[in-house]
Amino acid sequence: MTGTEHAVHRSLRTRIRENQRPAAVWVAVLLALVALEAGALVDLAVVLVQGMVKAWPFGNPGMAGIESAKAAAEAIPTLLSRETIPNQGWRTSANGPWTNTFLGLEPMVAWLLRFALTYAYVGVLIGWFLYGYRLYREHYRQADWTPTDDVVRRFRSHSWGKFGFVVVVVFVVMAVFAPTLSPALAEENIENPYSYEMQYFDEETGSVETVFVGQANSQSTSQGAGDDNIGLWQYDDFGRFHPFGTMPNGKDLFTFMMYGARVSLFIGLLSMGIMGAFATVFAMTTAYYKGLVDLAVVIVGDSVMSIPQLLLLILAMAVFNGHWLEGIYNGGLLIALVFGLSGWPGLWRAVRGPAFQVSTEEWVDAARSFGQRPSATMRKHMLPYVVGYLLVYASMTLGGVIIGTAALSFLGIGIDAPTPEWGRAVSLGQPFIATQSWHIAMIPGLLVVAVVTAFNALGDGIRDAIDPQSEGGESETTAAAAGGGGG
Amino acid sequence: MTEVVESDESAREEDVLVEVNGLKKYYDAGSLTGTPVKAVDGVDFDIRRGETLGLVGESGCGKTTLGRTLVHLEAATEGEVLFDGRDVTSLSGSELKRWRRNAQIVFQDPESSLNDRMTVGEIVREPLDVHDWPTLTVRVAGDPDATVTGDAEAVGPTATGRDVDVTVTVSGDDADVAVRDSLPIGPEDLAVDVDSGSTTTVDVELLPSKAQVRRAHVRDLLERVGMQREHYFRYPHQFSGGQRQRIGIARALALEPEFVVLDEPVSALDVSVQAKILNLLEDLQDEFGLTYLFIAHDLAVVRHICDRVAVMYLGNVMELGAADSLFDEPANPYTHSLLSAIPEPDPTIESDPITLRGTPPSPRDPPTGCPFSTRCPAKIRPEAFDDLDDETWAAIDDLHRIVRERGRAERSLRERAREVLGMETRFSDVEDIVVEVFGRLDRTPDTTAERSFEAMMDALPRDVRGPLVDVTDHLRENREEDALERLLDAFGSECDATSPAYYDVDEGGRVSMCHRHDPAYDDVGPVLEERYGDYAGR
Repeated sequence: MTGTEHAVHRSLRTRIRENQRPAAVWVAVLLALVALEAGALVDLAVVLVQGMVKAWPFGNPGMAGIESAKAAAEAIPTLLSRETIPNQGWRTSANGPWTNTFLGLEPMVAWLLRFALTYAYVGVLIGWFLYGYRLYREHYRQADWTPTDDVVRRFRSHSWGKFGFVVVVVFVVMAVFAPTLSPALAEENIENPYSYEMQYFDEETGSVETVFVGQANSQSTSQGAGDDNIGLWQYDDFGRFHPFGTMPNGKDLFTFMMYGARVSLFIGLLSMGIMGAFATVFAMTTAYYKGLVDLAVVIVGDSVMSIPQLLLLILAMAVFNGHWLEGIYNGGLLIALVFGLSGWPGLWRAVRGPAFQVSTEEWVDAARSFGQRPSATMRKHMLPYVVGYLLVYASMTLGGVIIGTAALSFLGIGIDAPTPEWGRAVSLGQPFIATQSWHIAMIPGLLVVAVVTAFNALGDGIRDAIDPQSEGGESETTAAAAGGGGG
Repeated sequence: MTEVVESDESAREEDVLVEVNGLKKYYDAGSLTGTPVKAVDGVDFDIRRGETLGLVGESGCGKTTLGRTLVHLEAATEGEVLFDGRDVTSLSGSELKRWRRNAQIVFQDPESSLNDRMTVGEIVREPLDVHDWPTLTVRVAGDPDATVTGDAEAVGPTATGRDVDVTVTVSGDDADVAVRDSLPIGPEDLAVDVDSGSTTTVDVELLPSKAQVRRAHVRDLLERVGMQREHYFRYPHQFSGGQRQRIGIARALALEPEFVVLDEPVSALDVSVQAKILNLLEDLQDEFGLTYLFIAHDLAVVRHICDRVAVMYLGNVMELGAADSLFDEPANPYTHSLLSAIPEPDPTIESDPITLRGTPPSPRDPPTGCPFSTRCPAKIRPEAFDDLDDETWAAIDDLHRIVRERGRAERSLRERAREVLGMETRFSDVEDIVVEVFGRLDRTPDTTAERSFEAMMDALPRDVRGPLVDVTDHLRENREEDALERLLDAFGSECDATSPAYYDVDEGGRVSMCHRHDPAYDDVGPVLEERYGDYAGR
């Protein structure tokens, strides 16, 4: 073995060591970006630990330590937090300056600033990762070209898919940054309004008064008739700004939507994860072993599919009533589990065909001929060709799950109040749809439509990106086979 | 010269690498839905070390299945495959995995045999990763009892060739280290430590990582098959069919196998590339001492590259022998037909090929007797019909095939119902068929006239007419089995009754499976000459 042989083959680490500058700059900027949100990340970790400790059935060991850790985490300055840019304040006199808001700005401006900053931050973060991928391609990757390059190129020129991607990102940011994006905290405004007090300038008494949030809510309701409406982009009498107006019970609709996105995304991703895991494992094993294994899964899948999903959900909600499973997210976990465990046959059937097609390729035989393990063969030689289809169908099914969850809440059997869920907003606003309080049902409804459409668009984009035959809108019947071509 | 082969051991004296005995591969054998597909139906042959055995035959004759069974991609239904004297059909688990290093396969379609999502390097390297190559074997020269520790294991003194990676010659505490040429490492890549106490202990440590050795090996292989070392990080997409096939060959050779099945390795390639790949395969065979089973349907290619050739038909080996003699003087009627089908490049030579009528029978329902009997141009005919002309015989053979086909055809419920009700079905036009088959015979001057069934029957010789009337009656009542039995009873011969044995047909050990080699019958050549005159391929 010659010396040059070693030189030609270098691990990624040596390649980076030999050309440090681009990687170092990239990592430094990334760390700076992350540092802006360090407080939130530490806080998240502490909250997760706390949740686990709380769920621990044998007492709550070390709860005091966790509480202090949480306090410490909250003390870390964070760019995108309500403390950095507060928007909830009050006037000290009629038409006087605002106190307790960011730089004394009026609440709308302060909130808008925080909102814009959040999306700008996420935009920069995504852009930075894309830039990192380009750096890797230019400086560190050994192959000049990989099939993934073509996939990326095709997706970049797919406007409909990019539209879907953008809307999905907007939606995911809503869920992740819900407390930052909302004008008020859900805990204060929606869940326990009578446990929190707020201050406002009362024009009648001419002084700053203190009132329970719940009381303020009950005087800011949107009930359609007369003055009883806080519509889009309005302040209420308590100096609170409502971008989407208020709900019939006076709670802030925008806050409700942000936290509702969290619930929808949680249910969507968890159920998709369950479905995806089942679908992948079954598609791989049935396609590799065929025969009896396939028959068994077909029978099991058909049996599961024959159960009406809605009835099963109602049944599960009834059976688990009061159970701890039902307590998590006011039934959100249970809904996700039912969707996941009853929905996998659909996803599995969608990818079974492509999996079978790949399993007949000679490279699978070749792997067998030199003794590759079945699991490795499935992972290396079959799964990469199926994963694109999985993404496509998963993103489309995700929209279905979101709409299903909303539908359940609309019917009143989904996620219970007070946990926000978009479908419940539609349900609550339905009586007022023809009045000036139309926003209560209309905005959540439109958002559901937008998000589901976006997930479908993203799925379309991914499919066209992984499928070279679809380029230029050719309607090739062999398109399915070519799913293997890309990357 | 024609003599039934004794199952003597004389063939074993030659250096046989692969010995196949009574190998059968049936599909759907365990299913409830009736008869299995007999893809390979009892095959015996052996492949000598270092030779290229060609396997030719029509599409669907079972040659690919046979090749795949030999490398254990299909489990044999029956029979044994002795590899170096060891039966490998029953291997499983780690034993099978270890054996797989010895036998590899190159696939037909280079588009399908390479995973497009992996780089060329990853593809060729994968077998090495799977087998944790290199598993260094060390032979301590002159000291069979020496212990070997470290990254290597000891092999016995009898091991030679590629079984010995490193040879260590101990002299005192010093060691002279020699590494096998085809490994991508040299003695400087090994740290060898000798401890000559009561028993000699040799500690061998591989200095570069195994990954480095594998990558170097892959690059060597790429270069060896005519690619460039820099192609390691390219993707299969970026190469032409011929180059992709070279990558497939490099992958098959990565584990340094002794035996390689080449499953139509050039038939998917451009003609201009075929020769290059064939030359590469021959070079590699010389360099690595490979043994090939070369599956092909291109007879010219087979003649070029193969030492011996096996001709397959319907899951059986019809003829097997040295390539030159087999091509020059074919013994089996099927070989005759195949060779006569090779197009003659010289247009001034006028000769007709022996056209095989019909298609091969279904492997689900092979003929009783000789597998080729339904289409054989030299089929033995009963003596009673010695004076019957060839055209009539051709018509009888056609009818035979049609009756067999009808017997196999599935009847739908609707057709059964129509039959019971006496209505027209696609099985009811018996007389039309007979007229169609026998009407072609030029028996009356007026050939253009529409001939009735009766008129046509009258024109036939009496001893033909009798059985034919019976057959037609049976068919009319949808009793295909009775019809077939009557046909064979009247016109059948040894060929339809018993499967022929293998006969020695030349001094070189060539064997052929045909009743005509029995001294009781005329041999194939004269019969074909008599029946077809100056046919092509002679």
